[in-house]
Amino acid sequence: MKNRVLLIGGFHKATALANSLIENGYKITIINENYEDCLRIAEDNRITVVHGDGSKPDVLADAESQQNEIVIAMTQQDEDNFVICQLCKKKFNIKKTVSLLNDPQKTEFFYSMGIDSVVCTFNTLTGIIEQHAFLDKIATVLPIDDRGKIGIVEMQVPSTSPCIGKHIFEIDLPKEVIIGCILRGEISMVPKGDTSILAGDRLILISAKKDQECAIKVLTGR
Amino acid sequence: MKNNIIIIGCGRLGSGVANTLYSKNINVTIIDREKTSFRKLSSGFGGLIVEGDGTDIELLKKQDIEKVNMVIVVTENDNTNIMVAQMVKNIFNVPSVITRLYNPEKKEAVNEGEIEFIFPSVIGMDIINRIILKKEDE
Repeated sequence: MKNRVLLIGGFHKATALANSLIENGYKITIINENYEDCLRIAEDNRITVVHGDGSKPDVLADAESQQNEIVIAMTQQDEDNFVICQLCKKKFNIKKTVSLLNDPQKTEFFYSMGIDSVVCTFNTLTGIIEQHAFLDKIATVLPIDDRGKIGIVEMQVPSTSPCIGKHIFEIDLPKEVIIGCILRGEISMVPKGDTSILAGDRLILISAKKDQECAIKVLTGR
Repeated sequence: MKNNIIIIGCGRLGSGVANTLYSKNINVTIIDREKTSFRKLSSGFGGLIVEGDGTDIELLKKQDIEKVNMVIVVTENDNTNIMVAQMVKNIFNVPSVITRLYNPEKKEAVNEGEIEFIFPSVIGMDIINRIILKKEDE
């Protein structure tokens, strides 16, 4: 059924997410193992609360799991999230399964078993920290696919860049990077190979994750 | 080809199977997170003992898990057993994977036919039923 989301585990994350989803018109069911937490969540009468272990088929049945469009497994344990997603997919035919994951090594495995979206808290955090440490406010990076393989980078060309005055075709960018747009003062343009780069231009790059760092180095000269 | 078997979880079942396999000259490796669990192995046990997390892909790789004939996953936690058994099957293509589930309903979390299950509750039920039927016959 449309617009119904099942959240399993994770007290603070679940309530925060539930609030924002309700505002967007979703109906929320939360399964939580801790009875005290259940009581606190149930104070919000817009949320349906089921007390129990969400990795057990009978608890999932009690929560009418088959009625949901999306399940988000956010317990502390990777194995619990794995079993929750597999049961929801195979037994309760939920269309989209989302799992939180602690151990980044298991990301590919989770995807290969058919879990639709894997959010690795560790990867996401280190990604943000790395970005802050390395990029030092030169650039903002937005991941666009959920595995973080491709991203959009917005960066400014510093006056010290070796690329200033060069045509784009003369710049030795990695293969999997394109300059999608140049913002120059008030105007924005879609560049061609013979467009020149000026100091202060803001560039929007579409890039494979692995090439981002290299591309920024080439364009800034750092 | 020589028989190589890895057992994950050194509880009563894991340690018992490990002891038997070793006494039959089968190459056996047993993995458990808790050092104290290995006390359950018999004093003459000469198989490989690995203290570590059986859900860790790197640790499993180090045991050359791709080359073993069989993996037996018998930790105390059903969900751990399901995830590890499925990892062993799908990442490392081990031909035979056996696991134990206390809750038989959870078998539906696994693709059919990929893993062999042991359900203690079902086995217990069978035995009790048999005893009752026998008594009725008498």
